[in-house]
Amino acid sequence: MREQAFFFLVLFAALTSIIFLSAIIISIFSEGAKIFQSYGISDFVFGTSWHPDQNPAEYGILTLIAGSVLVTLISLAIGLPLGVGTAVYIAELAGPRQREILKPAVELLAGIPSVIFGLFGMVFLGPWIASLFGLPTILNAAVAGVMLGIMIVPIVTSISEDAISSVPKSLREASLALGANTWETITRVVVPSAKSGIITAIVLGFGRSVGETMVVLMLAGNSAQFPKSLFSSVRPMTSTIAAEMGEAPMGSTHVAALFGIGVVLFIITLFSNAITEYFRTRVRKTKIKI
Amino acid sequence: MNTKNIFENLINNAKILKLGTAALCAALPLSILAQSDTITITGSTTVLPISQKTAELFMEENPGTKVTVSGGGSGVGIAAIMNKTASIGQASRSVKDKEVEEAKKNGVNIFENVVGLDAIAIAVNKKVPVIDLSLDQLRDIFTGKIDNWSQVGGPNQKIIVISRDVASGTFEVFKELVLKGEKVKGDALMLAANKAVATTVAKTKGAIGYIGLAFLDKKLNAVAVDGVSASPDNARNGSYKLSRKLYMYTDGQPTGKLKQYLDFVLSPKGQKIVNDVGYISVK
Amino acid sequence: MKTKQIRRYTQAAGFAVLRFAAYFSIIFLLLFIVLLFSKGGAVFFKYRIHEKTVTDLTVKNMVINNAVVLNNTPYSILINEGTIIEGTVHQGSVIDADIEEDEDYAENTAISRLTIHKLSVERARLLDYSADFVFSSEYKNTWREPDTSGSYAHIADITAVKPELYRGFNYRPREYRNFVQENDKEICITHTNIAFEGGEISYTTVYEGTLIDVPLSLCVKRPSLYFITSVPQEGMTGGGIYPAILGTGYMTLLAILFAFPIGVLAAIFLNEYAYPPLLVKIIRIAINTLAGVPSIVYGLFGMVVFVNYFNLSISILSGSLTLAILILPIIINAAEEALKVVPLEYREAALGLGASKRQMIWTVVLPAGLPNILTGAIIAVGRAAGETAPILFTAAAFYLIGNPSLLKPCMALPYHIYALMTEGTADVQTTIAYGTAIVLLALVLVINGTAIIIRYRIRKKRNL
Repeated sequence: MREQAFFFLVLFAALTSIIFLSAIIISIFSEGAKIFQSYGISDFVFGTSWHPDQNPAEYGILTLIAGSVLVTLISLAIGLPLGVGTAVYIAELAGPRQREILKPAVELLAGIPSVIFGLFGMVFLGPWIASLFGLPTILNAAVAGVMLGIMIVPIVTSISEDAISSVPKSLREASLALGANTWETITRVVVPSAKSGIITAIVLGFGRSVGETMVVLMLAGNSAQFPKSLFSSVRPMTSTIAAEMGEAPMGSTHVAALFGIGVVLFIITLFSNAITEYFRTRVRKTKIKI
Repeated sequence: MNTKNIFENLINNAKILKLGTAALCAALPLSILAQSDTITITGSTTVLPISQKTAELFMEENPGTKVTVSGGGSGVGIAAIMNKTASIGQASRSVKDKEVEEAKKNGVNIFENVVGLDAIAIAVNKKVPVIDLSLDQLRDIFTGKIDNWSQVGGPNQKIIVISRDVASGTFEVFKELVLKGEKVKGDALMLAANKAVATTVAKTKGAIGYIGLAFLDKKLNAVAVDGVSASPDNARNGSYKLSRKLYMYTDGQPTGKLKQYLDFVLSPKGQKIVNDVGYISVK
Repeated sequence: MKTKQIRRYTQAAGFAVLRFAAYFSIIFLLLFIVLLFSKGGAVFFKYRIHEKTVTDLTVKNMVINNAVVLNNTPYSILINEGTIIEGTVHQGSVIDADIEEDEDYAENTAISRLTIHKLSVERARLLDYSADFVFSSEYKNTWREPDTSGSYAHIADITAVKPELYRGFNYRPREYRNFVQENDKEICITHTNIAFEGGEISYTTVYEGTLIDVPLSLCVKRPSLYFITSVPQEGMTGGGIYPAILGTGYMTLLAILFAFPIGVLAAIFLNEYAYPPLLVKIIRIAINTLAGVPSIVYGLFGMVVFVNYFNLSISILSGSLTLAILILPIIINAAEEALKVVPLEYREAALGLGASKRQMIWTVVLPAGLPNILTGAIIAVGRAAGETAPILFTAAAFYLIGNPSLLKPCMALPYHIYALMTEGTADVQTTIAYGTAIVLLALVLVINGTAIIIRYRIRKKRNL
């Protein structure tokens, strides 16, 4: 009986994850559904004018999505090379003492709260980039993207490193035996075999960037317009929610619209999660094979 | 005792630690019972300096009362009153009829308390030599019809427009008095608060933005509107066109501690704080 | 076909690139910490003004208005009315100077404009001022220029023998009121700053009336922890951030209190029982999905469910519950990993001795895995402490002092940083924001560092 009770206790504890997830989905979707009903899904998702203050209000989020995408792409452009490069270095080239410095450094970077990155960007990175490129403003997509890129380096590094170190030694030895030097082994054998893991890292980094709020809220400029260049001021989805949420009273269309954005965000991250899972299982399978 | 032992002891005593912290947390709920009067103020970042300083002094004189202050924008403040989640909703714009109705549906009667006056100053970057703009020119600049300083008597330089986002009462008032319903140009930077606008205008060449009078400082140049400069006297006598009232909204007429607080804000001491902070007292 | 040379160079280049990528994190971290402290370090000191003496000052190319010539050769000039450099040359001082322009000046002629190309000043001295002083809170936040309507000297191109005398960043007096020790005298300070080739001189004169600037370089620094122990004062431009530390502490504690038991039990289920398999799969998917939900969506969720539906209003309770769900996946993953590495022998031994499954888990497996579980929990705590988005609409307040209560909002460190930078009212708040960031970072680093150390020690122990 005690045994059974304990079993049910732990079962229930595990079930809470499903309960909470459902709660999140239900709450977000039910609030968000209101805007889909009243405004129309296609108008919402593909509309290009986000002006909740106008009369009648306009709730098109395409510009917001574009903002998120631009910032995310920039962050991936920065974070992926750095992250994968770090991972390759740690896995293949670094000596044990170097590893002991590098790995904790990357972990510490992961632990820094995002709002401090936003602060850093506002006071240092933003003005630096602005002066580097001669920009008039320090808040734009590029600054947010670069800062985000640095933020996702730890995630990309750790996943890539797992993938790379799980490439079996025999492959490396075979390549070296055939006369390739280390660099060629890395670029032509190891990294391609770790492809799944690295793609996982890319997708995970993407998911993290899309979902990040504070950095973009403080750095992206927040203009609700279609980005014209890397250095435009943009308004990603997350900062729109954060900036405007308190404004509207519960139950209003504006709130529903913001929840609608939340729904879109959730679906995007769900998608990227699913892709990650798919590649992760592939990595696991290759691990078992050899 | 070396660190290894300390750690091992710590780990072994982890369960005791957990119990200890649990006990600490038990103390928390008890404090609910000792609930004293709390006044929660939330809303406009324009009124924030006033409410924060008056709250500080009010609490010094009335130790039993707690005052909490949050920002978020005028919209947040009015929404909070409507949802009964705050005692005072501070706003730098007047409440809309729609909001009054919504509030009534919730059982809330929005009551208006004017606590100060503000002039919305048009700030430009120090390097911009323009010192006067007409209301029409302002509107054209902010809606994008004019995009170069040379078109208004300045040098050949792109105008960078800085605005506030939708939660801002400052924005609402600006929209009403200057934009007359038109939209701000698409690539205007939307910032979250007065201070952010002031900092960004100061740092950005060719920038123009609008801020509460309190946020004007040495680093910015103020532009006169239709020949009238932003000053307390001009705001009070109405000659400066971009002046507005600062509000603290309550649910019904304030009573008890709430009334005490609002009386304090409207007292000479409180109004002096309004002046100190850079706004204009009601009298 | 690539020659050996090209391949070698490519390899070298490639390695260099990789090395750069890897060390980027360290370089960035170091830069980050250095810059953080440079901007925010000021909040950890209290400042007292200190008197300093300037010696051997040489001035070149100085323009003086309203000077009266005393002698002809070499020209000696008495500076009328006030001082050339306020505080350094007293009324009545005689200055020897070479006048380059070939003009004849009669004795005792009042000159309206005189250019001096070389001026030697011996033993210039700062005016005394009181080491203890207080700023009146009456002074507004606005900048006031020194009164220069009287005669004064405009100085350009000064070379000083000791160029590095004063370096420092300036604060407006009201803004660093809390950095200075207070007593009851009220004094006003005028600051003059002369920049010149090779350095700069900043010094101070005491006046009644106009408050401008006192360079912190003139102050004696004393480390002080007032920032962590006091409440915000002076309209959020002074004092400390103690309520924010308290708020973050309580919320994080509560979050881990809620999430830890549930997380560990869930991990036990996943690792030890895992039945039925389909359910397990669904649970795992749910956990992974929860881990990937953006933090702002958690904030929305917390708002709808805790603040509104359960009517908990914006409070510590709402915030910590939201944070708890946020960190749950982290704890479950860490706990599961920890349980996985508990050796099979332990379990078999327990079962062999007659323990039931429950007893085996409770008395053998859990304690064996506890260090690793704790490591994971500690990392989760670090995560919870730094999150801003979930508490934006569920718990955070800008200014709230007094004992925290479960049903009231609270200040929090990450929110405070955000609020100061975006809703702040004064320049010094950037410094306060950086100071808060340092405190938060220190908190997170200590937490993560502890976890890393614990894990390191466990690994060492296990490798024996």
